[in-house]
Amino acid sequence: MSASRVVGVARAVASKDLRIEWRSRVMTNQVLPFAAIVMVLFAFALDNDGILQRVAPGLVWMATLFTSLVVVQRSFAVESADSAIDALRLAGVPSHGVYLGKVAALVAQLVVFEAVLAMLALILYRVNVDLHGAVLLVTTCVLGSVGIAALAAVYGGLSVAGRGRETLLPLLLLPAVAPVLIGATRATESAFGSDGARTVEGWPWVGLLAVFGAIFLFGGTLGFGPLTDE
Amino acid sequence: MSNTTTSVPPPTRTAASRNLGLIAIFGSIVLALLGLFFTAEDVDQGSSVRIMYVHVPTAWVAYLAFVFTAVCSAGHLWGRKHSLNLDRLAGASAEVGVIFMGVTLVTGSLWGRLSWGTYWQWDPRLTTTAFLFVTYVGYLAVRGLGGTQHQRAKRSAIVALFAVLEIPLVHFSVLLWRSLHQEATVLRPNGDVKMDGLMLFSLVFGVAVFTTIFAWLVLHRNRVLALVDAVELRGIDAALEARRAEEVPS
Amino acid sequence: MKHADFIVISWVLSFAPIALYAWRNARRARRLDPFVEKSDKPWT
Repeated sequence: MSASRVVGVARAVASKDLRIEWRSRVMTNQVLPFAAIVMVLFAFALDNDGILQRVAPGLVWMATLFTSLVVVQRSFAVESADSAIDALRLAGVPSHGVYLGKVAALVAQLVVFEAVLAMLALILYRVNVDLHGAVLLVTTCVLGSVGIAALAAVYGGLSVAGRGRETLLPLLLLPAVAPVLIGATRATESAFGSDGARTVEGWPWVGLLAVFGAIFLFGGTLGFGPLTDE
Repeated sequence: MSNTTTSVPPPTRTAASRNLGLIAIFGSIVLALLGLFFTAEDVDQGSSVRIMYVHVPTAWVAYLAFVFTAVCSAGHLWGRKHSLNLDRLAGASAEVGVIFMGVTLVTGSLWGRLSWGTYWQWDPRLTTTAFLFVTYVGYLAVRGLGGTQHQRAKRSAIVALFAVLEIPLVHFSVLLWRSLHQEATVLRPNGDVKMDGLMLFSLVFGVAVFTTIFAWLVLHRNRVLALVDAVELRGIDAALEARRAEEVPS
Repeated sequence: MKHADFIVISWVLSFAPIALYAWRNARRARRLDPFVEKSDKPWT
């Protein structure tokens, strides 16, 4: 199969996923409020402005991880409903393309959530970002999302194969994305200037995120096909 | 079931596996004598070094088990026959590895209580070990997903290879994370001790004993899993009921 | 707790799960045995 065909399939799958999410409004009407309430609950639990400012980066990424579980489960519930993914396979669509499309759609959704969560952190936890910090933050969000999505699509595909074993996803995904949590939190700390961190100190962590994303994007491209193939 | 008394030898037993088991039991007794009575106390750690004679070997065997799981999984995926026996070996090895890793974490925190004064320290080695434990609990859950035996084999082989890929990344990022928060170095022994001849011998002997135990457990577990698969293929409902009645091994 | 207690507990906790696992494994093998043929046990 040619590379252009894979890209075409990926684009089709990604736009299909995003269109479904856009039309169903589940993300905006249910998941986004969920993410917001998590941020408010963190403030209740920690109950101190000084602490909140210091731990804001960690809270943003913890909320992102929780939200990503919901997003991934939805993304693959769409596929297992009416055995949609079986239809894709019967149509002879290359599985690399399906995988990359799923990842692209997940990244797009995660970046939106991260943007909202970061905005909430700015407002609720009163952190400050300068221009350099904003560039760092955007890069971190994109690369962090790629890392999460690359793994999540693999384990999400597994939960489709397991027919309704959604409880398995957090157990597999959360330990595996620990490096993303570490790297993204440290980079975001630099972007927010929490705890006296300087912005330039964040870039090496972005490197860690890039390496992580690249490795699992490659591994997922190889592994997704055999994993969902029954 | 009437024939569950220990007087009937289990159907997984052969003369070779029986001898291996006897060697493992004899070795464990000798190790206990060496580790608990004959070796001297460590200069820095005192008698808490005696925990090391079980802690280090179980950690070693757990890592060995996970590497073995990965090798068997790769063998299953790329082997021409897609051998189900390799898949069962991978599963048996991961189960034994999870048990040993759990033991390592418990004995490690008991050692930490004696040496560091706390049960848990955010030490990179310890943290990675905890991650490894959870990751392979997840792998075992994937094995229980159901489907045909070939589906199970392929699925779990891929997850096993992903798990192996995760380990160095998690370890590396935890190392980086800890290097940021370097605390004042009080007296914090990290488990590496200067050992005299008998102590070193006991440690190496412990590794040998636990490796034998590992081989013995995996051998039997592999045969039990083969029986389980055979029964499943025969579709005998009564046996399946008996199987469901058993909980997941911890 | 004394030093010695920690050490004894460590040793007991190291071997107890292994013994339990081996015992349960053997019990399960015995339970499955009536349902399999000799050809399912190539090692015998």
